[in-house]
Amino acid sequence: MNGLIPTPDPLGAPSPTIIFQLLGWLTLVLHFAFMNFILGGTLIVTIQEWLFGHRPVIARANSLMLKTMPVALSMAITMGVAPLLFVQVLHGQFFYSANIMMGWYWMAILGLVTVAFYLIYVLISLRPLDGRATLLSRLIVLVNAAIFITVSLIFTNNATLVEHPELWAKIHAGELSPLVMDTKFWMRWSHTVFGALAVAGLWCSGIGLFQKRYHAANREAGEWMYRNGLYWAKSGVFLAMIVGFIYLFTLGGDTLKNFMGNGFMFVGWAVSVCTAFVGLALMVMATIKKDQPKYYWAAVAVVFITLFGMVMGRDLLRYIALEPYYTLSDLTVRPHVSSLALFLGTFVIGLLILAYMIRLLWTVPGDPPTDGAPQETPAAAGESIAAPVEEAAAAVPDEPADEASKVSDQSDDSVQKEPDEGEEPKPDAPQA
Amino acid sequence: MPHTIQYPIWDVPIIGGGMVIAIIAIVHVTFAHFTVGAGLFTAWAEWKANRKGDTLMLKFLKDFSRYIILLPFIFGALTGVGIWFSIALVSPDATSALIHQYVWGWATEWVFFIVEIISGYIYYYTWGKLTPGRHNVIGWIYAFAAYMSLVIINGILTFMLSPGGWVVNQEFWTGFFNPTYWPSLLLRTISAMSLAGIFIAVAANTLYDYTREERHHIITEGGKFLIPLILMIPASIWFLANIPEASARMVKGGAIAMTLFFMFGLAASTLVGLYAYFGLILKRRYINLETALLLGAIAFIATGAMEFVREGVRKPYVIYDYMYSNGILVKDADRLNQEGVLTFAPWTVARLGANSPDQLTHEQLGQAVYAAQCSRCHTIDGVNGIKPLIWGWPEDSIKHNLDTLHTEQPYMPPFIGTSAEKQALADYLKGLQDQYESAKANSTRESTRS
Repeated sequence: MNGLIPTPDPLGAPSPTIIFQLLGWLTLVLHFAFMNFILGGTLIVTIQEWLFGHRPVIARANSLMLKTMPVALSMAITMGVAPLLFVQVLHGQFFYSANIMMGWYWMAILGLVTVAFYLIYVLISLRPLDGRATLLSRLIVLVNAAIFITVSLIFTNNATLVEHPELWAKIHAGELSPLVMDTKFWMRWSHTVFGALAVAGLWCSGIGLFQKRYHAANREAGEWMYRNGLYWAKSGVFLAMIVGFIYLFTLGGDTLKNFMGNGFMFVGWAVSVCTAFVGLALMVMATIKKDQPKYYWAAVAVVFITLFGMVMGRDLLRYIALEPYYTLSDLTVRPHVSSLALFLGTFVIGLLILAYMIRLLWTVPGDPPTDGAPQETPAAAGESIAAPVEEAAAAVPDEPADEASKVSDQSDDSVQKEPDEGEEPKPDAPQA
Repeated sequence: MPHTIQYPIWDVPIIGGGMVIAIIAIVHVTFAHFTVGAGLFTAWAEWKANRKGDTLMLKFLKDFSRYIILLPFIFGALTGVGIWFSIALVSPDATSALIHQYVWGWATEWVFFIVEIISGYIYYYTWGKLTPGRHNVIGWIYAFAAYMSLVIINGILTFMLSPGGWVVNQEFWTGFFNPTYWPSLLLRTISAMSLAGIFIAVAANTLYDYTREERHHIITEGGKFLIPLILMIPASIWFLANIPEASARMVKGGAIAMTLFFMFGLAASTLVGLYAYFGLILKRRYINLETALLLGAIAFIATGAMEFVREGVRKPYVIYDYMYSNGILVKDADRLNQEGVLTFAPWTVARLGANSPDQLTHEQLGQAVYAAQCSRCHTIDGVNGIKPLIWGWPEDSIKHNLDTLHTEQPYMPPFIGTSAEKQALADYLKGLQDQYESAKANSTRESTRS
């Protein structure tokens, strides 16, 4: 078998592998944060839409969730590029081979996600903010849920194939299906989906908190989203933990021994197990003390740490599986400092630009406060960019030429006129 | 051990893996260039409209920014990932080389990509919510980030065609600022601006709440972005002067397909530029939706043609002077000629149920050599099919062609392998030809009968 495994690239890596691992973990967590919202959020909306969509508050909550999805999906795709890059540096020969085994199944991801992306926009334009969604709209939600589940199955299958080079020869010869679909696969995939429900639940609560605080018209829906999101998050974490442990113990004694024998990465994973319990406790506290969102924010922070540790554990398990064929020390390192400096410099500049843009967004005023918050409470970036297409389109100011000119000549420190000026106020639109 | 043809092979019948890449890549390049040009246009036009109080243009830019998030932000982003997916399936070794050499370049581009996406969404969703000045700053950030992603990717793309001194020192910057870096950047900037200019005309015609006069004003402004197309010819000459000599010979007639595609691409681009200058700017003509779409189609074909030429003249390499288009490293050729290509292409052997080339029959040997050396570019009887290519060749010609593959057809890599492997491949190809000719004869007989 070893003769079939491609050797590491002769060009080597331009920096020590630990740098790629660290950046890979960090960017994968960011990718998971958005991807989980898309997968879990679509499942949550689908269930709510079909089972409880007749309740106005749930209908509105579903609308608010859907409206955040285009940006979240864009972010999931964009954030996914970096870990894809680092994976190729570290063990590209396994990744490419697994891709080739899957062939069109792997390529299908692109078509599926493209269709789902446009369907989200179709949903946003079809779905009324309040009231029962039409059958067509509900069917589209169902189709999108099926698409994202399929994509998650393909990704999990690919990750599984990477770790099982012993299957490749038979698959390539056509004697075995590239779709693994064994018990371990289903455990791993379930762990992913439950984790996605947990993260999406937290997003749901966060959107609810935001709506409740800054948009008077959505206060009731916001409250419901906050509570309900915590419910999904608790259930997701609980189920993911159970499945995760069962999955771990099905891996076999040798794998477990090696897993626990790796100091640094195992500790990272072990910490994440502890933080998962802490996160669950914090979610329970946030549910009990629903007027104290500090528990919610603490849970978000802790779940972020948990994701980081879980990603480390996932990485460790992969390298244990690949150990008979490859270790990271097989990859030649030919340090090239200036190209790393180019990236780090650009990264810092990028962060500064993002910070600057967020600061600008902070100047966009929200609704009149509903809970005693200061009048100038800003709208957060997430909401501004999450506004629905049609709402944003409706908010185009028909500024007179001279007024636009005048304003542009003024200092940039002043906020522009009320954008909804001269328009019929929309009760549901985020007011600017 | 040579790092050569070590990967399994992705079989794509009929269209071939290369065509899958080409389809995705041309769509991506069109949308990616459009994004860059659209960023520059919106930032510039908003700045100008703010100064002149042009509310109509501001209204259009608001509508136009919706197109940006609905088209390039979805299609552009996903086809970008699609290129990665497809090149990794078809040419994993070349993809691996690009990643390992330029990972920090790609990562840098990723930062700009994130800034571009976030600023693009903020730009769209904050119309009327930020002051015009601040909103325009977001527009400039978007334009800057989109353009910088082009600045980075251009270095890596041109590296593949003209790595220059990199082949000797394998140093990041030597390959990045290679001989075609600057002319290519100029060409891509022109292309990006012109695609944006054309799409503005399309967009203006698809928005129904504008009068004809209003559309006319917008189209004229957008048309200004087409004027740089006039520079296409000098920029192309500059580019040609810097590509490897053998590549330049292909464009100049050495490979007639390359010459024709290059001329078509250049002529189409220049004509669109001249039309823009004389029609849109000087005569202030109006473009309706049909004409705008026609211009868009011409620009799409021109973009596709130029990309085809860029890819085509790189042959027989995928990374010039470093890796042949079938994935064999140039430096490994001598060793493979002595020890046999299949000794180092384990998947092609394993696929036929053997553990080593010695266990293969003569026919299987030919089949495995074909899979290892030919199948990345040729299908059996689909796009660039080997059967129609060798149709009617006598047996001696097939053998002769394999002997002189790279000298008589400069876009082909040399045959690499032992003489036994070469003979096996020649016999395998002859077998394919016989199948093809008997199939043709059968179909002719049947059509005559009916």
